[in-house]
Amino acid sequence: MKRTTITGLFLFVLTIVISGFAGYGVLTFQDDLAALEDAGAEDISWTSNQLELELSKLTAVLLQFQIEGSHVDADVVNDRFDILWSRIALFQEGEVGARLASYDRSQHIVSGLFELMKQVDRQVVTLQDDDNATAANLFQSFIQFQPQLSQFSRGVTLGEEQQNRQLRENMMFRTNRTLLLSGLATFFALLILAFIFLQSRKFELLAHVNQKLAVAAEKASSAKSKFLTMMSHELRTPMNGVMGLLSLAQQNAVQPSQKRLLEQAEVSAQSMLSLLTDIFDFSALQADDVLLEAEPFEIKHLKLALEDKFSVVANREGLMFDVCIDGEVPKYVGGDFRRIRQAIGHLAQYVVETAGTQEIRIALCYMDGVLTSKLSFAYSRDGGDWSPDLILGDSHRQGDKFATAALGPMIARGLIDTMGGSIKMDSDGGDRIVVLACIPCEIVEINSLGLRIYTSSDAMRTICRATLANEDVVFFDDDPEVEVRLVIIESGGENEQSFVVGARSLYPSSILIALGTPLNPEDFDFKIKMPLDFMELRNVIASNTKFN
Amino acid sequence: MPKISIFSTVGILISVLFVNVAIAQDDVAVAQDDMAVAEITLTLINTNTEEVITLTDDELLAFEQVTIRTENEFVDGMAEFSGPRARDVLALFEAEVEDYTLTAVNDYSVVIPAEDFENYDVIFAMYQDGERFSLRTKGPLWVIYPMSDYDVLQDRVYNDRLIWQLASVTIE
Repeated sequence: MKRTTITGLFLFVLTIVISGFAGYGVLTFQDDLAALEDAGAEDISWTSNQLELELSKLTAVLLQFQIEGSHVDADVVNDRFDILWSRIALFQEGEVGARLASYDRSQHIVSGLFELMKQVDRQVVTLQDDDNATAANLFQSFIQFQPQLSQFSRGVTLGEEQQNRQLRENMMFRTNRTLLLSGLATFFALLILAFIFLQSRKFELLAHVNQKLAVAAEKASSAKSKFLTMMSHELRTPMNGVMGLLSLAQQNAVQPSQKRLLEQAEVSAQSMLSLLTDIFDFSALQADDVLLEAEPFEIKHLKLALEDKFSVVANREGLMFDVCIDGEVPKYVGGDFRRIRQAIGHLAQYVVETAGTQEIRIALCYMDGVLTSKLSFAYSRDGGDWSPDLILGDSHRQGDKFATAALGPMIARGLIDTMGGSIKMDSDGGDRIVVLACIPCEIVEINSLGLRIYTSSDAMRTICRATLANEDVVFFDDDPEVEVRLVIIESGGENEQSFVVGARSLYPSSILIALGTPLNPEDFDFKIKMPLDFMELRNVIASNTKFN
Repeated sequence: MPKISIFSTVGILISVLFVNVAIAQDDVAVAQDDMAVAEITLTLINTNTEEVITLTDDELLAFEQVTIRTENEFVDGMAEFSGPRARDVLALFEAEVEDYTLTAVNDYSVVIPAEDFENYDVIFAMYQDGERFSLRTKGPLWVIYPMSDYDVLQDRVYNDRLIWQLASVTIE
């Protein structure tokens, strides 16, 4: 891969460099073109030929001037002289003049002629029509420049041709060079394209292979999860059967020694069942298949549930276990109560089993939308296998080891991660270690309906509770401080009147519902006939939960 | 008092008369010489109508004078040229033609299309940087294009039309 990258980079840089040379070639070609245009723009040869022509015209008129009866007079000679002067003046300014002067730099023919003209200027200006002698002298002076000017003109013509030829050759060379460099740049660009194409094909193949591998891995993982799920169910079913039989066996009259054996067997079966449940949960977490059921719950119920779970273990292990609510907490929060209890329970279980501590405290607090469980304990150096890495999930330390006690904290971490929370560890400054499990839980405002059941039958009470329980209903039996707005009274019996009187006195503004046929129907707001129509009862409850 | 004969008197009178005539002739000759001093700078020739129009310096200066600042291959850097606009002078022909033949004092000639004079402010320059052209300095007239004002004019074709020592313009 590295070699491929270097090769690609090298080709790219080479293409850029060659393209740069080609671009430079184009620029120099443009310069040559401009030079060629400039060379063509000025007809230097024509100008030098004009000089030669005008000199010959001057010498001609000087000759004719001496001929008797010719029409050439002094004025004509002056005009020709001035015209020749103007031709030489061309050498002294402008681009044309500079280039002409460059041809005269070594031979000084034109400059010599100009010197002569300056010397004879006065003679020409004052020439009289009959002054043949002066004209003859002037003729002799100028005629000697005729062959020199011819030579000069030839030199200019040849020089211009040579310069143009040189320009053309330069242009040809630079054009060929630019074409070559452009060709090379194109070739390397094509090489790069081919290289990119091949790399692209290779990556496509790799992606295809990776996709296949991913699909295979997904299938394998899915198959593994399904297998684990199936096996967990298959194993839990007979285990539940075993536990049921053990409970039944304990209800019979058994010897104390047998009772102990049965209790141990029951404990082992519960452990086995718990392990199977953990395996199932672990498998679901690995497959990202955990479904959360977020419902409103009371934090104090979580406290009670944790106390219930660990009171037996704490008694058995002889350690102090305390759960408290730290600070102000909302009455209801939203979350998966079962999973939260399970996660905190696993953390506590792991500490109990490995930290060698004699005391565990769990403080539940709530702040800024986060429910935090602070599990604090004093770590004992005789604790054994306590490993914070298993809780925090520091995988590089774990390597490929999988301790038997690792399942619980891994499940706890997985569940908390799934719920969008986090686990941290801290110290309170002393010997105590604090494991902080932070789980986002939104505050839930419940417009709860306080409900009280008046019945002399526990069975009826249980049935009503089971049927009517939901997040909006708070039974008086669970929370005597709830504002009771709905009272269900088992009617038709001897207790009906006392129930009604009691309800009316305690809850004068509540709604009274009669279960059965009441003796005094006018005392009740709703009547539900027997056999009990629970749907009708639920509808009455539901409609009344919307009342303020 | 001596007597002067009639014959002497007549002779004297006749002599005076002849002298006056001679003086008068001299005056005429001087006047004619004065007329010959106003040189012709430019000649316009219409070969169709055989009309010939000659223009002196003063007559050329009577046209609206236009000043052009331009570079060309025959001057160093920017130079200021002034003279009458060519199309103003050529309007004296009172004829529509496609091109004009401009001829210099050394009989060098160049054909310039009429649209050059229509599209650009070509002038018959009489002055460069305030100095009157002479025969030695490309005078009396130099055809100047405003080359620095138009990129299209910076071409050899227009260089060849910068005819100096312009003597005549002919149309056919």
